[in-house]
Amino acid sequence: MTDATRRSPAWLDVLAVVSVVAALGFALASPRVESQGDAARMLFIHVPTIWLAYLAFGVTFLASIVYLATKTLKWDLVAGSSAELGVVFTILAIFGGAIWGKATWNVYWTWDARLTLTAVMLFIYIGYLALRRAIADPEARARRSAVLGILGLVQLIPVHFSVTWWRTLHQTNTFRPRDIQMDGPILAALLVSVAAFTVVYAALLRHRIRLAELELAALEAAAATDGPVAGDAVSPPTIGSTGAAE
Amino acid sequence: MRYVVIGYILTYGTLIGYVWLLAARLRAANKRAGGQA
Repeated sequence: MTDATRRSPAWLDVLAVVSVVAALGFALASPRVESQGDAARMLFIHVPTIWLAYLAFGVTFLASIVYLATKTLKWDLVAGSSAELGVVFTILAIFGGAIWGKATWNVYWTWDARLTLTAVMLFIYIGYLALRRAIADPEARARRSAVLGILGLVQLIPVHFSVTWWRTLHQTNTFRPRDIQMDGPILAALLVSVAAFTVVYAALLRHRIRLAELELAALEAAAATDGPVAGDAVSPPTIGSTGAAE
Repeated sequence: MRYVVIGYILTYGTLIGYVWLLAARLRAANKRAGGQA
């Protein structure tokens, strides 16, 4: 990443704010849905957040593959940064869905296939982030987390298709490009919301990658100094040694 | 409508909280990098 890309695109941040305001405007202006009343407006935050979770984990998957192919640490930073954002958006999707569920099903949570698998997906990627924090060596961390970043996406397929594979309480997929059954204003508000959240993701990802670069630079700078590090004071055991008495 | 308001406040509030946290982490990392230079 060049210095120019690190510093310049404040326009992306501005675009993110503007698009979120536009999305809010469209969401409030969209017509009331007869069957659900105002609760249907949760559509404009619930669908974009789960879409962003899919996108973020998809980026983690692709960046992990590219890292394993090229061994360029930058791609590991992209994978890790995107996974963190994916976790944030999955949490938002679960909480938004819970509130929508309370308004329409009268329960915040039920052990429905879609809900349960989404929670499992969340825990897998929390585990991914925990794995990254548990390994200090950047190369080892990148290699091991890339494997999990690739395997993690396998779980995304049953999450998405759970509503068609099983009879669930959760409705079938809201947006089906070949079978759109939404009124124009509702569809427009949904598309604007999805676009707005995608811009927010792009802006946040740029900053999160910058943070990861700074953290990596600090780690490398600390490793380059000759000072003692944890573990240096421990000498390896030798066979036949009696310890300090020798 | 009550649930919608709670949902929107929770979603956008969490996003704003994450942005604030990310900004704080970036500031701290930039400060460390400046100190090392």
